[in-house]
Amino acid sequence: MNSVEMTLEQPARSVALPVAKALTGLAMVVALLGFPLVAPGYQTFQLTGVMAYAVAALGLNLITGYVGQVSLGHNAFFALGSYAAVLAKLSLGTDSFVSVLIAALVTFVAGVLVGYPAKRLRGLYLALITLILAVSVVPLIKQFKAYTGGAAGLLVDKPMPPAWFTLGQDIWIYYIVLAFTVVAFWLIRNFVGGSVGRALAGVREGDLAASSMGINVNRLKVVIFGVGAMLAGVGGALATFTIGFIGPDSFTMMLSIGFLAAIVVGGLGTIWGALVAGLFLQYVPSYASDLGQALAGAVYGGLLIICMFLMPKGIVGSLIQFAQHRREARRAAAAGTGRVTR
Amino acid sequence: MVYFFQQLVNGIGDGAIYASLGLALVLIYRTTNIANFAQGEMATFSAYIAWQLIDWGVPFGIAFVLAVVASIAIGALTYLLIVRPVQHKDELTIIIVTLGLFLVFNSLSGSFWGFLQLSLPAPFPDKNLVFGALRVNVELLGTIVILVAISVGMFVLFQHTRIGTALRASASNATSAMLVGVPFTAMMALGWGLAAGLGAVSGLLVAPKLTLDPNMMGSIIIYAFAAAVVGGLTSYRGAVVGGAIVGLSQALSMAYLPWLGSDLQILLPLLLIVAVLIAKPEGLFGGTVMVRV
Repeated sequence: MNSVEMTLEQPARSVALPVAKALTGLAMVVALLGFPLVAPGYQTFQLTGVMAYAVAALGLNLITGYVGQVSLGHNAFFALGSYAAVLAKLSLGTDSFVSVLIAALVTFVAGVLVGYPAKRLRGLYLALITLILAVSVVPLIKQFKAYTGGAAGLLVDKPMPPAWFTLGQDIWIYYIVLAFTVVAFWLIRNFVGGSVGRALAGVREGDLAASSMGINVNRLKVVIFGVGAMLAGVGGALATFTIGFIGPDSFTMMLSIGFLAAIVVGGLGTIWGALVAGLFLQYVPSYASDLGQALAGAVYGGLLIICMFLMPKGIVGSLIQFAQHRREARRAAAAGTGRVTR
Repeated sequence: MVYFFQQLVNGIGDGAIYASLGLALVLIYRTTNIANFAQGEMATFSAYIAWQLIDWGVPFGIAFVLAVVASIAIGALTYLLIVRPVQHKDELTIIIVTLGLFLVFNSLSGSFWGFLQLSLPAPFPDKNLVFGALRVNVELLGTIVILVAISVGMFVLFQHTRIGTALRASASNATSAMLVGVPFTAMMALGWGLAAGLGAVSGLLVAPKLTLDPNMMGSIIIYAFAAAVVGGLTSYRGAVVGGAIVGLSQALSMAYLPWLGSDLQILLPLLLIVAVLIAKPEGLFGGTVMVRV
């Protein structure tokens, strides 16, 4: 009975909702655009980092949150994107913007190559293979030190603002990263909002059931792995251009686990969870390291376990659920049944 | 030729260690259907317990036994407190929780005992037995003897005792096992305890060879996973054979492919796992698993 009433009510709500959503979105973009004009320089720099991490986290959330494939190798794609952008800039002399696009292309191809054998693997086996990928990043960087600078790393020229831009280099970088972030989030939101999103949910719940519904599960998994890796690469390239330095110590396996912890806390399978993840990755490690080198891991690990126990949907997922419950309760009250069936 | 056989012997020695940790992984996977990413860090923690006991003046044979017993208790407790609440959730949740455990154990070791390298005395004398041109380390022989003893013990426990039967029953069909009166939770806790004990043995064998620090098991656990997966993740025999395969191929590649360098050796288990998963996804000894949709 309730379900009928809900469907009847749907059209009336669906006009108001997108307008509200669009307004919130607009307000957010305005706030982000104005931020560096009012905030101190260091906070602008930190927020740039947040956005770069958020783009990469969005990639992992696509792979892990939406498809349910646990990848521990996100640091590898993050590193690959960083080095691809830096090497493109150093050897081909491309400007930073084009270098980031090259990084995107390289990591997409790499993601597809890894995703191709990975499509057959679920859960555990994929986690294992990507775990090995994760631990081989630093040795590989050190092995090819003629190109990567080895353990000492490389200094990277930060992008220079054009002459008409007078607010300074860090703010210019902020706007570049903001542009990439907005585009990435907008594209992925549309990507998972439609039929692809429903197909992804099907794959997550069960490969076999999804493929019997006519979804090309394998192709979907490979593409998602590619796109997820690409976002990691873009995030890595952006982060590197923000910091102005690249070295193997930023790409250890702890980064991968950090990414995973961040999207779990932010909300698996939600777009905005990735943004929370970005905040997490930028701020939690620095606060955790205040507690001492040893306890940083316990903070991460404890958060992961507690989150899985108490809030498996993460911050954003729980908020969405809360809003849904309230909406349903209100609707049930308005319909005069006085009874909430769920 | 002697060089070749020497490499084989060394490979078997390392393989025995991978196999013992691999057995722990298989044990947990068989009983609770969970791949415990924290197994290596738990083993490191056990090795630290032994170090602490020896530091307090406990004679070292007793310290080793006490460390294994303590590890069994820690394993069972970990199951009861952390793993049991999420045991029947989806694989993603479980993987995340065991990764959380990985971090927690790693940083507990670090915060109790620091990140400086400590040395744990070896359980066996560092002597060589000479067979013609071939030298076999006593430590290596001891490792193999321990592994064989453990394997036989596990076989007897699982196949010929009531507890073993109850363990297998709980693992294969929880509902039916509970209906015939098997204490399911206790069995699961026992499985985790035994695995932690096995892990402790491997930690105690590894620590004297490398040095004891919180990240000691970092690469060993990957080789152990490779051993378990090559063997099929559900087969004890598979884990032992897998350990041997991984140990041998590692020793041979170090000897004959020096351009790989010590850093890139880590890619070898990756190649092995990928090869096995592509050629025979259920592993060399694993059975095919059917899934209800």
